Amino acid sequence: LQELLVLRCQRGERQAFDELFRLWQERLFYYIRRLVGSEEDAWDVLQQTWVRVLKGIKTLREPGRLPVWLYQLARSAAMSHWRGHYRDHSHREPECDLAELPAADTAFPPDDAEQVHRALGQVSVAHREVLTLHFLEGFPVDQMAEILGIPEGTVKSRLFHARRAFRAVLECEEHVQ
Amino acid sequence: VNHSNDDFRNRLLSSERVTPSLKERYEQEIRGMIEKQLTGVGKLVWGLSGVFGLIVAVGFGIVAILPLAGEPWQARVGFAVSSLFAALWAYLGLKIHRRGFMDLKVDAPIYAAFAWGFPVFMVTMFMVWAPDTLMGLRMIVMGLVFLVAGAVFLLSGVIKQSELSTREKLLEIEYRLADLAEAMKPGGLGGDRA
Repeated sequence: LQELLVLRCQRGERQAFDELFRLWQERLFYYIRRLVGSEEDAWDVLQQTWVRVLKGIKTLREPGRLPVWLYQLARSAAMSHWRGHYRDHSHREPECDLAELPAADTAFPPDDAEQVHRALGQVSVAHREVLTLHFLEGFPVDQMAEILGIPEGTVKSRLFHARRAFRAVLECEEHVQ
Repeated sequence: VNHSNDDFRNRLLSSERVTPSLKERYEQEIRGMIEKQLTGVGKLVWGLSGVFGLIVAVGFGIVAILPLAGEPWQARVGFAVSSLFAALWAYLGLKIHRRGFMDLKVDAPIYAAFAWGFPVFMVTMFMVWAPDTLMGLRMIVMGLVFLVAGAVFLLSGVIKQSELSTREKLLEIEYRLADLAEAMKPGGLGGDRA
């Protein structure tokens, strides 16, 4: 149905744009919020993303690629926002030594969304980004590589390290509690 | 993404806390990207533009139907078509005036097409019926550029729209087939019936 929505947008249907905003706004905001420092900046970046979407939707030749394309635009808008200063300002190290914790093979992701949400804020931006894409959309490696603009091998390795760091944060949280 | 993933995603999204005032500001800006809210002056301008179009449409229509000063038939054709353009302009202008905002995605291209299509028509008409032969020839050559560009513009629009319609129909068929296949599976809706 998303493909139909893209075609309707390409035909300039006003309702289709409203529907597109409604369907994707929350997800894109969540993703962007994980990349930029403040909520206010995240809303600005989301608006920039929509400007790019409105300008470029007619050039989207494969409507099935909509999710990948939207995340690519969101990422690019976030990058522009940072203007080369893309780094993690809000990164906080967990309060215990990760190396001391056992690498328990817990279910991934845990079922507690609030816990996942909190833990995402404690891993590095690179890890947070790849995990957010994984949690929100469950993108396969090739599509994630397309969004991030990196080779598939790098995505796999980043995902592996991100999962490990994420588990460690969760375990650390439980340990502190 | 299956249903359990959808459910997890929704719960994750609902964990995000947003500031209502910031969200409200963002939504206003997004609306502003698609809709241009008209100020009092803007509404007045569109209203006057509509009324002006109406007056021109009526005036030109009268001249086209009643040859008051014995105008040649070519001029009457010109007046008739101009009257039609003016009537459409008036309709759109008054519609925007009444609505109070301009839909930048829909209205703007229509007005662009109007503002461009009308001169193309008039140039073509004058160049074809120009009284002086040499002047007429020069005008035809110049006018052809506009005419060809107009035709290309129009055709590419038509082709694009029909391509999109075809793809839309094909997708609808695909979705219906997928639904049907799902229903025919054992345990599905069709399977239960069987």
